[in-house]
This record gives sequence, C-alpha cells and structure tokens, in this order.
Amino acid sequence: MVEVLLRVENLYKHFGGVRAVDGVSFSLSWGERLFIVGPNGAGKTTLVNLISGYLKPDRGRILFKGEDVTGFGLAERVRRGIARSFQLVTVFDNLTVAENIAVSVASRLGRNRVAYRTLSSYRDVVEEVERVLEIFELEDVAGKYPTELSQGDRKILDVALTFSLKPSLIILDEPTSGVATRDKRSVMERLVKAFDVAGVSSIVVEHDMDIVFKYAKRVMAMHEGRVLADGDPASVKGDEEVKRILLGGVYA
Amino acid sequence: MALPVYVLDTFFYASLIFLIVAGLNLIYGILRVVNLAHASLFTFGAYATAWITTSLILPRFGESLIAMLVLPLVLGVILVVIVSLALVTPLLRYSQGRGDAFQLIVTFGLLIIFEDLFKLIWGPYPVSAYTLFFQMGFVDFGGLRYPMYKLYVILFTAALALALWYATYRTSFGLVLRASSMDPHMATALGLNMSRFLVIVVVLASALAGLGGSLYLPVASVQLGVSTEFLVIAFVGMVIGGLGSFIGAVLGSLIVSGLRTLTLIVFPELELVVLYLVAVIVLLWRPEGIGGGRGW
Amino acid sequence: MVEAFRREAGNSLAALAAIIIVLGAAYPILRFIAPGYAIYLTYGVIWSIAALGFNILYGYTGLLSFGHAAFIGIGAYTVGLTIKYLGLKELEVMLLVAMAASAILALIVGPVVLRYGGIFFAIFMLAVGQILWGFYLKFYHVTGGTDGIKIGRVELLGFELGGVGYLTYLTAYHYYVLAVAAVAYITMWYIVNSPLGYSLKAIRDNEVRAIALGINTLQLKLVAFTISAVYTGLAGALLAPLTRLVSPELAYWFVSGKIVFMTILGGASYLVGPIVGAIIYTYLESIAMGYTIYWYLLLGILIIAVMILSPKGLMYLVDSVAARSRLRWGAWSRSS
Repeated sequence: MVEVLLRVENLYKHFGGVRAVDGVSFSLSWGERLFIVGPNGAGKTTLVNLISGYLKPDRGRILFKGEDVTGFGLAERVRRGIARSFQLVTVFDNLTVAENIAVSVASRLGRNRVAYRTLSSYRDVVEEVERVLEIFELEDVAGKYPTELSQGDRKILDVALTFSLKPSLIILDEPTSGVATRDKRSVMERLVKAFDVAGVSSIVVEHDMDIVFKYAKRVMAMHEGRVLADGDPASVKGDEEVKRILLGGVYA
Repeated sequence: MALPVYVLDTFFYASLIFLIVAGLNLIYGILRVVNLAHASLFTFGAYATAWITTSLILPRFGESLIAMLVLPLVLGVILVVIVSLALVTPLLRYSQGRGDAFQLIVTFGLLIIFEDLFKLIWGPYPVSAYTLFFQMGFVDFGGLRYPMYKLYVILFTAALALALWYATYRTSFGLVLRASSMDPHMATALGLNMSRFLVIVVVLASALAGLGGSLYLPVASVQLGVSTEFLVIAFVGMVIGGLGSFIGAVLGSLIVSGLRTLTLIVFPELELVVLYLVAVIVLLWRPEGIGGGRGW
Repeated sequence: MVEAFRREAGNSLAALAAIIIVLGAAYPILRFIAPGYAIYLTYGVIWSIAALGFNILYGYTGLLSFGHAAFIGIGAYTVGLTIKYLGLKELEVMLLVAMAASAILALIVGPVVLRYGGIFFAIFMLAVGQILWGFYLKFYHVTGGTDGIKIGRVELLGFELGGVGYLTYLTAYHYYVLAVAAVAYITMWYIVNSPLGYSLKAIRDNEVRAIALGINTLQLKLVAFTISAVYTGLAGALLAPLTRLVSPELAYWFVSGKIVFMTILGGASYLVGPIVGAIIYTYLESIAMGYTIYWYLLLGILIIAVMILSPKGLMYLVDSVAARSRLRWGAWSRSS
C-alpha cells in the first residue's frame, strides 16, 4: 500500500486570461483530512474539479494511489475511489433517508439489477444502511423524506450517499453553505466524526474560518490560484501573507 | 417517374408541414409548452374552409376565383383563431411550467375533444371541397401537367415564410420573439406584458396551422384521423429540424417531406419507419436538431 | 429500520390480496345482479395488467410513453396470427409467445429511445406505436387489414371449451385472467420492492445523481422498459379471445392515451393505483358508451379535469382520507 494517497504536481488551469489554478502542488496521506480555504475566485472549486475529474488540467499531474490519473475521466476516477459531493444538495426526494442510502449501498454491492427479491431481504444491505445511519447520526430521521429534513440533515444525507460508495477520497465543496449558522458546527462535527470512524481521506473546501480552525488538523490557504500556506491551523493563521489577504479583510 | 412532379409535390407537402411545424416551434420555443392538439387546428381549418366554401361562398359568389381564393382562407383562419382563443390558449397558459407529462396528457385530452367535436359538427364521413383545385386547372411544362393550385400553395407559403423571416429577423417584435425563445425571462425583463405576449404567440401559431388546413382542403378530403397523420409527421419534422427554431421549421419540413416522397415511391409501407429512423439518426448526431439550439 | 421497509411493502401486498379477492368474488355477484356488466370486470383486469406494466416505466422510472398500444397490438396479433397461421389453440403458448415478442420489440427499440426522456421519449413511443399500427393496417394480406382476424374459443389449461355455453366460457375466462393477473400483481410487488425498483425510483428522482452513484441508468431503464413491454403485451394477448376480433384499432395511439389516463386516474405513485384506475376506467367507458357516441369528448374533458383537479389520482384521495380520519391502515409510502 502506497503511503501517499494523492499527489498533485504543478497543476495549472487557465480559462482565457484567468489563471484559476496556477501551479499547485501538495500531497495527501491515507486517512488525512485537508481543509482548503481562500476568498472567492481563489481557485478552490477549480482545484477540486481537477482532482475529481470534472476538468482536465492544462499542465501538471495527478497521482492517485500511485497511479497517474490525470488523463482519466469522471467515471474512471469514481471507479478508482475519488468521490465528490456538490454545494447543491442532490438526493432522491421521493425516497426516505434510509431508502436513499440503501440505493447507494445496493449500487456499491452490485445488487441494483436484482428484481426478484425485496431489498429488505438483503441482510448485508440492511446492516450497512443501519451502520451508515448510525455513523452520520441520521437514525432518528431514517423514515423521513428529504424535504422534511433540516438543511443540515439534507447536506449530511447527501454526503452519506457519497460515503456509502466507500471511496478512498471524498471531496466536499462547502458542505456547510446554506446551513443556518447555529447548525454549521454540528454538521461539520458529524461529517468529521464519520470520516474519522471510517478512516476515509477527505478534502473539504470551506469558507467559514471558525469551523475550519476548530476542526482542521491541516489547512491549505489559496489565493489567485496559488497556495499561500499549507500546514497546521496555527502556523497557517500565523503566516503573514495569509493574515493580510484572508484574515485582515472580509472573508465572504 | 417524373422527377419535377415529385420535387414539386415535396415542396407542396413541405408547405403544409411548415405551417404546422412553425406554430409548434413557436409555442415550444417561446412558451416551452408541448401541444399535441396543434395539428387539430390544422384539421379544423380544413373542415371550416370546406363548410365556408360549400355553404357561403359557392352559393353567393358562384365560382368567382377571387372569392374562392381569399374568403375561405380569411374566414377559416378567423374561425380557427377564435376557437384557439376559446379552448387552446387557456389550457396552454395553465400548462406552462407544469412539466412535460402534464402538457402531453392535457393536450392529448384536448386533441380527442377536437376529434369528437369534428364528428359532432361534421359527422364521421370525409368532407371535401375540391372546387378551387379544379377551378385553377393545370399547368403544362415540358410534357408534364401540374395542378396550378399546388403551385399557388407553394408560392403562397414561400411568400409567407419570407414574411415570417422578415418579421423574425428585422422587426422589434421578432427580436423579442427570439430573445424570449432563448431565455423566457427575457420578455418580462424587457418589460413586456407576458400574458399578452403569450396570447399573440398562440394566436399566430394557430393561425398558421389553420391556414395550412385551409390550403390543404382543396386537394384532399378531411376526416377524423387527419390530425394524427399530420401530428406525427410534424413532430418528426420538428425533431429533425430542431425544436423551437424558425430555420428548423423550414429545414425540418423540407427534409421530412423529401424523405416521405422518396419512401412513398420506393416502399410505401415503410413511410413512418424511414422518418422515424432518420429522426433518431439526427438526434444521435445533433441532439438539438439540424437547425436548432439557437432559439427562434 | 427494517420494519420501516417491511411495513409499507406489507401494506401494498395486503392491498393486492384484497383486490384479487374482490375481483374474484365480485364476478358472480355481478353476473347475478347486472349480467351485462360482468364482462367489463374481466376487461378491467386485463387492462390493469397493461396499466401496471405502463406504470413501472412512468410512475417508477419517470418515463412517459405514448406508445404502449404498440405492445397491446403485438400481444393481440400474436394470438391472432398464431391461431390463423399455426392453428394454435392453447392460450398459454400464445401468451408466452406474445410476451417474448413484446420483449424483443422492447430490446430493439429500447437502447435507442431510452437515451431520451420527457417529450422525445413520449413522442418516439407514439411514433413506434403508429408504425406498428400502420403495418397492421397495410399488410392486409397477412393481418386482414381493417377486417382483422377473428378469434374463436381458445383452450384454457388444456381444456377445450367448444361445447360449453358462452356464459360459462366467459366465467372460466374471467378466472383464468384473474389467475394470470394475480401472478402479474405479485411479481410487480417483488419488482417494485426489489433493489431494481428502488434504483428506478432513484433514476426518476435524479438521474444524474444515480449515475454518480455508479448506477448504469441506461441498462436499468432498459430492464424496466422490457418488463413494461412484457406486461402490456400479455394484456394484449389476453384481450384477443375476449374481443374475439384482432384489429389495428387496438394499436392506435388513442389506446396508449387511455392506458396513460387509467394509470393517472388511479394514482401513478401507488402500486395498486393503475389497477384501481383500469377497472374504474373500463366501467366508465362501457357505461358512457351506452349513452353516447361522443365518448372521446367526455373522456377528453375528464382527462383535463383529472389533471387539473386531482393529478395524483384516486388512491391519493383515499390516502388523504385515511390519514385524516387517523385510520391507521399503516403507512402508504409515497412510492409503494
């Protein structure tokens, strides 16, 4: 097993004259969690799109589990274990929370073509659904429909769906956006706990600095497509450039 | 056998299809509503024209060519527009934004209502009024005879298409039309009265369809089932040409008619199959249709 | 949590069982009090199989087809043609051939047509239906054109029923159809509650997300489409011995529209919705046709009225009443 899960080498992505990602390099170890912060337009989402396969880089390499996946498309990367969820919550509105997760689990177990047995008769599916519900603290709302949930629970359900695919790397793009401020902490808390329990590596793009500095062990600050600082929260916070650009001003 | 005749027949049929497809494209392109009952207005135009010709025109004006040309058309279209305003417009308005399934099902209901209305008013048997067709006689060229009436229809529709093109690309109304078909919110943003705009578009589309029926009548008889026949062909034409586009309406009608003529010569039973296959091929190659993707 | 799954599924199973019993018991009662209307119960059951097939595609996968009459036609003409040209008498064989033929058509047309949804899919299916209708009409040397093919009595389970009275034959046929329907209903229950069923609902709700979860949506849609075709083809085949005439009208697209309406009338998001809708519709149609020749006018108005006033169907109304009166029938899931 390779020590480093993900290695990003000198990624460049330009859109016309805009340098969205301008020479970014870093690595991520197995089980590690990286928070990416920065103002709007810093290139966070573009970087995430490049890693997950929604965009191809102009220059640079992406190595995942030792393999060069730079040329691989979305489906290929998903198959290798890179999963990503979006800012906009996309879940199945006419299925209950438990059913939502069951569909994801059944898909991972390769069962979703079966038509002659009921879903609930599959012990392994049911057990895994129960485990996922437990990990994300969704047991109480298991029988509810997504439209009946709080925004925080909806976000968590969305992530839980991605999580059920058992990817090696989950990428979250602003998981607490749209969530009421008072709930942001508990949402992040639950997500972080779930990832730790399962040992899943993650990259989280986040705007809310309070959340970041409370839950992060490693933070990468970006600005105008480049990395300003990469390390533990204290040292990133202390970095002069970071202080000037991110913390001195208004963070959107 | 005689190529020029086939070519002219293709243009003739294309003219009729164009008048239906143009309306379909207008309604879909701008209002984003699918209307299965659109071809029923075509049929109604034909029925109305037959009735007007036999009950009003012939007795009054005898066989005056001018009267035969102008009056049934104008009166027929007026009747179609009235019916459209009464029955079709409110339904389409209600259907806006309610999803494909709703629109398809509700306009299906409207279509079968029309079919029975036709049966109620004009009975289940074919209705016809060939007078104008025979009145205009034939034209001889290069050893071939061709009905003058069909030539008239081709030229009339071509002129109409040109007028539509002009209105679409050279007037401010056309500008609004095109902008709205690319972005439905544009109309409101431009300060337009949306419901009045909607009504105008539906009326225009209905008038075109009714006109088509009116022009169709002198060469054929109209009966129950004509709506379906033209509906399916018009939709295939719309798919091939591109949803919601003026150029698409023209191209789609021409292509569909050409294919149909070809198939009817070679293997008549396969008429729909060939059209369907070509539609599928076009969709696989260019999902927005040949002329589509650019709005009206 | 498993109970949550099981409870809802259990309720719809119970409802199915209840319906089957009612359809069985009602027949002799109808025969007694209103004999002319008994046959419509049989028709209703047959159409319920077609509607159930239609709904696995519409209610569960989110694909509206305006061409299901194509499969009715295939089923009916399979019966007609095998009787006429192969001298076949056993209904079971004809049913199997009809289902196979429907499946084949689905597998040919499906991979192309299923790449599109919404309007395209609906109209393409309409076109497919019309193409077949055209064939039945134009190849009259084979199909008899508008005259169609006359069907005599068929053998049920090997029993040759030529000698019995017509009413007895009809009764036997009703219970035969009911038995087939019972199997069809229970099978559909399994399908709907299976991993496939849930995956189809996921595709309906958000196809992009389903793909992102690794679901091969085209493949699953093809499976649903084939199941749908087989059910509707089966219904078409069961129709033939009852109508005693197989003609192109059975494949005309208005029939497709009727199937759509029956399903919506009953409620497309309920397993039993199409069944209820089909039976009620069949009676509505037959009663109305006794009073007027302008049934389509009424039907059109009815369709528009239902879509505007009660688009979720009768089962939804039943559901709401049950919920309001706090009658705990158990949870009717939105999608069971």
